[in-house]
Amino acid sequence: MNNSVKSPQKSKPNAFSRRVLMQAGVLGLSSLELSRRAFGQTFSPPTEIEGEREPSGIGTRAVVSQYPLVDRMTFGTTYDEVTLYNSKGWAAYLEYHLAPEKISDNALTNRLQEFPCTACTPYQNLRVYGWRTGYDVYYDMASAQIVRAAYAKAQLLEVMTEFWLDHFNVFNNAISNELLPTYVRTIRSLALSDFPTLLRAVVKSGAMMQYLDNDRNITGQHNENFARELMELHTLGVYNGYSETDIYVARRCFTGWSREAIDDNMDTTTNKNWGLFKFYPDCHDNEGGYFLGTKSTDLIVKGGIEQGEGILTKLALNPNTANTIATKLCQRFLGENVSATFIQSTANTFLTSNGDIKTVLRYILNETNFKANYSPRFKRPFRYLISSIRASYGNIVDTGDVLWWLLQPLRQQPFQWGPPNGYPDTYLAWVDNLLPRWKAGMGIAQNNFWGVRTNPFLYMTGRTPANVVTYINKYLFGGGLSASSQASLQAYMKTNTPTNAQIRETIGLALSSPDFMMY
Amino acid sequence: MRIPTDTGCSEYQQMNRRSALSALGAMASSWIPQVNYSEEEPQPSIKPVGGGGILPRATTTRDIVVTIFLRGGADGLVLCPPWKDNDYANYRRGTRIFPPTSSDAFRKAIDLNNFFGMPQAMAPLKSLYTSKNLLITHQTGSMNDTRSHFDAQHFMEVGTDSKQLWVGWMARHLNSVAPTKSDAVLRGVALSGLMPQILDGALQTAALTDLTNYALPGDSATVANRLGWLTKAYSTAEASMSNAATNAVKTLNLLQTINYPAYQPATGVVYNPPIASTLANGSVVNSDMAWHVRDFGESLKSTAALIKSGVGIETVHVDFGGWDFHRDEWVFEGRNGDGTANFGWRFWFPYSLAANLAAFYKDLDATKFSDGTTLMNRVTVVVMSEFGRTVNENGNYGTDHGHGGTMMFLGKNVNGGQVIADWKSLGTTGIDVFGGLATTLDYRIFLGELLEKRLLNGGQLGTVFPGYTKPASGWRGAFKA
Repeated sequence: MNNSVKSPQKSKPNAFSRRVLMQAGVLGLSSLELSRRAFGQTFSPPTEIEGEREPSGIGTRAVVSQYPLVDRMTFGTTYDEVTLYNSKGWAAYLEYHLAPEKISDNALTNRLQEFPCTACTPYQNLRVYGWRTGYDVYYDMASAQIVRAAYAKAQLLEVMTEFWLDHFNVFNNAISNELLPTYVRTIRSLALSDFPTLLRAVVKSGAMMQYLDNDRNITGQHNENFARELMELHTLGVYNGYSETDIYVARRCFTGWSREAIDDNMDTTTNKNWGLFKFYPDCHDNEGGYFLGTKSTDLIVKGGIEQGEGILTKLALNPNTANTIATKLCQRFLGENVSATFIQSTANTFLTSNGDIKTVLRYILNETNFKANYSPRFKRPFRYLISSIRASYGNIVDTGDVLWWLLQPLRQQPFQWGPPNGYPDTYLAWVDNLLPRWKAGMGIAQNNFWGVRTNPFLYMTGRTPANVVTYINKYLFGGGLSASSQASLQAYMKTNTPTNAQIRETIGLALSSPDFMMY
Repeated sequence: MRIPTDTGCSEYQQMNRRSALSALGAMASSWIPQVNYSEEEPQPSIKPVGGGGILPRATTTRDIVVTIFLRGGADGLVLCPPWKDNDYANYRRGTRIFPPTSSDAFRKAIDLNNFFGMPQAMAPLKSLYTSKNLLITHQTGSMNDTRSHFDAQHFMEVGTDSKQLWVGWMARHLNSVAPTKSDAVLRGVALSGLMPQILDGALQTAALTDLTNYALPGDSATVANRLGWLTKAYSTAEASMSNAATNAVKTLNLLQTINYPAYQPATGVVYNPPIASTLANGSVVNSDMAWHVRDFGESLKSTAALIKSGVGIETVHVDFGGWDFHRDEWVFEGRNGDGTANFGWRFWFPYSLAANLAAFYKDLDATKFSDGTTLMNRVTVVVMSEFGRTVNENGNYGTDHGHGGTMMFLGKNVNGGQVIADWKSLGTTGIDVFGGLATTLDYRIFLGELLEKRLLNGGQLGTVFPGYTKPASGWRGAFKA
């Protein structure tokens, strides 16, 4: 079974895609060169721009893997994960990952001991276990994200944690790094809960309050940054059912929402809640106002913390919020071509379940809906790297090396996206990012990077070109690599007795190939 | 940023040693810009003094345009304070730049035209303003009212207020004219991790982050074979990916040719220069430029090398992020260890902008041609931001998302030495309904003129900026014809 997917061009015949533009451009340029060389004629513009539309999806290329569900629910197919899927079947595999609390994973727990900052509160990192701050905390947090993505058995939990960390992005350079561990633990613990609960917990975090400047939003000294992004990015969508006036009401309602001991000197603090969320009634402007409408039910009455709570309640299950979340989840798990109809029915599921994340995921990922709606996706750099490591059973011996030699050039280090919209999630945003991927894929296969060690020979039955290609197909591509791709990899070795170096180069090419960029 | 220095990997050490050796070897004979004169090109009549250098062109051909995007919404009331506007001081308290006559050495303006000024941090650009090579515009930007960074950036980069259109205006320009150098490998480069919208949708473009460390890992003897295999494999991929792969391979070869690690800026040019301050005992200390604004200087240095190489690059885009100063925008002044004053950390942003632009100008201006012109006669720099900020400060000595802002243009083809503005007083209509600085000049009044006069593509105005037409009153005289 090869899950090739219909071209989005076919389903949307009028869409003027980048692909078409590119082909037109190629034609235009080659005819230009021809004309200049042969006839010395003048240049005419190759394309017309009218009708240019945001292209979606990535055209006609088929998903290589035979296990698209496994690909989407994890950070990359491995031979073990495929075995698990085969033993359980679609529905049971989905339910297994939807209950991460039942998955015991001692190996991961042990490995995470290397990164003690991740388990601590700000106070513990700063005062109890010595003076762990700044880069120490960032290093542990980024390392744990890498290790969890690569090795956690509860993969869907990690995928969803990444999803919410994008949705509720914070930038580590813009906050006190000591606030990160609590923030990420909050998100991971609620990644499969319900949206209203998650939203409330995220807003009531020192990290988000600091990142979007709400820790300084106090009566008489308003700061709109958080209130604006709360509506634009976290819930309703840009100008989707709110006005500038609503932003002014919201920013006033959130005055005094801040973090503990904001002005304390860290050297002297003994406050065990340092850096955690705190509401300061004295800094709150208790004036009310109409929010998202002018009916009596739209009125936020005079009050304290309940004003902000009221705003969150109005936002969390708003139909526009449902649409925002449904759109993003469908895009992440199904692709960039999901129909408006399916997004709407997903949003309806979100609303009828009161934002229950598992219910929405079940709706998107059940066999019928998934197969009817998914299309190929281009891996983002972090996924590309982690899936290379997972497929190769690579041993991460130095997370710092992975962070700085691999993820930094790939431009997707954890917590390093500055603006509040999170790392982009589209094909066109990342497609020009091939060169660092080739360096990473080849480097991993060839053992050029100290931080990741691979030994493909453990998984090969022999070292003939045929054995090598069999290994690549089975381990890297879940058995779905096309015959022509297999043949071209085999041809690269040019000999029946390839050296180990040649074998590693061939695997490096497989990891650098267009097939492996997709999932 | 901390970079691990203790990797025990032998391949890395070899790689580093190799590149260090090649850098040394090249330095000994100085970095030579590559020139590949194509037979199709007119034979050069104007030669760079000292040989090598940029491909000479007739004066009727297009400028190389460097676009710089200050992401986050740069505050025009700090970058170009209207210190003489009667109401400016009423709105700006902590972030106010004082009149030039003030005794506050850190916060007094450098006067430009007895109305507008520059903050002290931008002093490195003053001489270019005086020599009429720097033009500033004010109350400029998109007429669209959005306060969303992401929408506003998108609109400004695609050149029209549309979320459906996605090809950048610079990409549309490249798509609508023949390359200036027919055998150019790359026509546009973004020094950025991601391809910015402004260049998206054009062929022969690449997004690059690091010009120094581009080689593929592993056995150098098999690099050509591996690239050959990849080229073939990607030839059947989806068009955008296939195009990206082609550009990646070309970029590798191009960077090999340019040999950027050996690049030496012109004599006396320092990117990311330290900033001097005087201690109480009279001695001068140099503070290194803060790490978070250094990328901009590195990018401009790379830009200079790409242009001097003469490989046919027509546009370079540089992102300079971090301008969303919702708080503490006012920290103009910091302290040395002994309590004497130096520049505060918020000033590192305008300082990096000004000092590195000045370094870039000097670097290219040092490449002289036999007719007396320099590379800066062929290059125009554009500085823009998605919007300006609120006129009134918020409660945190910062400013929220506003509307109008400033643009800057640098080069010898710019009618510099002036601030172009249809200034509306802050006491009257200079503030829009949501508190932002008013926008009185559409950014395309300047980009359209740039397109016509410096990119020689005015006939495609409606293609490059869909829906935009030349104002009935004409352009604003920002550029030389």
